[in-house]
Amino acid sequence: MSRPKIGVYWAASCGGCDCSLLEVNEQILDVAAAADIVLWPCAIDTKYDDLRAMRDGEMDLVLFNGAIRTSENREMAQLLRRKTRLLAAYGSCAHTGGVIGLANLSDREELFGTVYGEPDRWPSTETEDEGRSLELPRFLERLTPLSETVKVDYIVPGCPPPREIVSRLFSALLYGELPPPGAVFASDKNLCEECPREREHTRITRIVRVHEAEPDPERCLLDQGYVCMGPATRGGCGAVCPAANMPCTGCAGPTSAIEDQGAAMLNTLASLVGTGEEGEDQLAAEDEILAQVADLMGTFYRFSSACSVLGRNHHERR
Amino acid sequence: MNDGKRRVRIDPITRLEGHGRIELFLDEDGGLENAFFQIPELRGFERFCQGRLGEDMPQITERICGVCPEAHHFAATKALDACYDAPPPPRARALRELLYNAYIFSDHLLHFYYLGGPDFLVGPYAPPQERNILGVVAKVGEELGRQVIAHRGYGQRIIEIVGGRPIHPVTGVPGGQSIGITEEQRQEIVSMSSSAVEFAQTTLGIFKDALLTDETYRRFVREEAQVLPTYYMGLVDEDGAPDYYDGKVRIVGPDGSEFALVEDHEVLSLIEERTEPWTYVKIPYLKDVGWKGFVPGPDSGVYRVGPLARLNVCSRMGTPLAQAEYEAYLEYFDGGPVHATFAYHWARLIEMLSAAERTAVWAENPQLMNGPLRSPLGTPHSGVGVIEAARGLLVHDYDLDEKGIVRRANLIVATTHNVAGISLSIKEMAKAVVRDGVVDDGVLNLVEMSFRNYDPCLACATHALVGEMPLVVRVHDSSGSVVDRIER
Repeated sequence: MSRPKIGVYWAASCGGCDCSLLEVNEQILDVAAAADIVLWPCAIDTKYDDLRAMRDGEMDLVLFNGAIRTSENREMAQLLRRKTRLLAAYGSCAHTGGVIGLANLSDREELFGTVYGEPDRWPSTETEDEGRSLELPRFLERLTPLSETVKVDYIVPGCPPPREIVSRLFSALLYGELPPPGAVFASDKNLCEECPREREHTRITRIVRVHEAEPDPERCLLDQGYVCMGPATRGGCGAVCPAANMPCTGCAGPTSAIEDQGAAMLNTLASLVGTGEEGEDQLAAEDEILAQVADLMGTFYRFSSACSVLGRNHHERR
Repeated sequence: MNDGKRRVRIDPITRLEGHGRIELFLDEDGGLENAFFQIPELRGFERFCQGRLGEDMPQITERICGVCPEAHHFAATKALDACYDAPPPPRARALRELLYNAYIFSDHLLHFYYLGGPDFLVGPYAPPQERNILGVVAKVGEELGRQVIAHRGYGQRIIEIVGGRPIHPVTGVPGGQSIGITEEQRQEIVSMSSSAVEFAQTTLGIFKDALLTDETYRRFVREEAQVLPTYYMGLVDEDGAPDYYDGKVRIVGPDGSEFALVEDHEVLSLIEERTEPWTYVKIPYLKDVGWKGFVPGPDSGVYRVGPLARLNVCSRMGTPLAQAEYEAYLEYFDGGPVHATFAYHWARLIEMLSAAERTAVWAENPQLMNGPLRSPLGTPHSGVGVIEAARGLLVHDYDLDEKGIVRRANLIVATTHNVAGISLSIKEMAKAVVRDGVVDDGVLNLVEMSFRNYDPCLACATHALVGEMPLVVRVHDSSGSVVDRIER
């Protein structure tokens, strides 16, 4: 590859993914020296007209962060798919829908009602103002990850992707060693594999919430009753949250062996709870412990509800 | 469409956080007829925070903004402290202050070198492909460029050490912090923060060499259209110095006199949120002054927040190096309050120095290393957390049920407070520079520079809990007729 052209774009996102590209510090200068960054709205002044003027396939790689929430997000995803050879779903929102996928638990009417109040105060896609018409993109019925709109070549997981992963991606780009499409820039082992805490697979007798007690910093958080998403989550970050004495919240999404991250975690948890009771009382006691998880979606599907079986069904039922 | 009229769209507006576009309508003579500021997105945090666990709010709400997640993280944590009647113990407080001042340093650095600064460091009329951080590095030299990158990295590294991650930290819990730092980490922070102090001084030197001598900048800090005499709001400590993490809310009027000084949670009682049939959402203004439309002046409840406002509400900076710079700043403007919108850039760098000095001071605080990390918690109820985000006052206001689950979450973000100011600044700039139908890249960039002063975070403003960003803002003239309308 001669001098590669790369782009960065944000759809429904928070800007954290854009900032994460700067976390590699000086390596960004190497990237700028070896490649042309031709699109990056938060940092450079390329406008949509410049983008539309590009040839199809003109860019070599686009890092696309953010989920598909509006018709503009969708159109930009389709446009960028044409303008780039390789497209990466960068960060949780593009990969699995992210935290904002929790919006799928409500329909558009409920969302707009909470945000704007009565329907006569809702924004409309077209507004007339003294003869001038102004358009807004349409707010889609359901938020989706990038891969539901266009074909995605790479996945760069995390909220946001951690420094080591970004750095590995840049190195691959700089040395012309980008992997074949389909690659995921993270470990395919679960987070527990890289977590230094000691796990004894202790039976969980009570679910503990993070504000209720100060965890032992050496012992596995699950063993101590905290819902740590490690068993259902892809590694690659170095287990930074457990290292900060906080449970993993699952931002990197599941490993390839897991289809539904939340269901997998629920299964794991169900196999761990127990009071030592036998017989009929056993099931009731286990259910009682599991029921202590007061927010199922926010706990098990914090980042993946938009691509979960449960999240979709929930939406379709409505 | 009317004959002879043109429509020019800036899409997307760039070098800021979030999505936005500006529509300019030109009249037959090629002057500005109307300007529209649109923000074409919504994510709906307002709704899906309901039903979440209270203790998860610091990590959920920080996903509103990945540029200032620290502000949401700790505004949420402070709101939870209040919900659980659990002010953090001294050690946790020291940890939060340490992280928070490093964040202010890092975020202000980002704006000057990456977002708003390139307009002056490279030049407002420079080719668009050079008007960015890489253009800045080319202009100031690679050695300084590497310093810029290294020092942003120091700020982020301090956040990572104390917060567990450099972006979207995790250590804030109701009534405290989840973990402390080691002596080795503290030493690392001491060394990084002392370098940060020096670099902030270097940056102020660059500002004076490059911006204060720049004809465009000098014109804009004096030009009447870019000077808005409004009210200002910010947190101050008991000595009257700005305090980014905690303090009382002080409001001053356009003449600099004190309008209010209240406990932080009382700020909500001073603000009224404007609803009009022609706007989709609410616009905050000072209740006791009243709403007079989108106009500046003592009779208008329009107020501003952020670096310019904080330097207008304080009476000293609280650290020696920043104090000297603050005095030079006041002298340049013949005393405060400073109403020049382009002075936001200067005020921001004085704060960057003050935040670096404060980081260095907190890094030496003995409370950092000893004592409990958490306070005992009471029974949850409602609570308010107020903090100074880099862009201005941020308020998280929660109502928890008896199980600590979020029933209602309301939040007023910095950019929302500044909406009236931003709208006015865009309109005034567009009116001043769109002439004779000449709307080239340079002119359009001047229009964009008017909002970059505020370092707006549209990601925050449009994803606020119970959205506060107006969808339609009409600008009225003194007779009450609509002269402009800004819309998302």
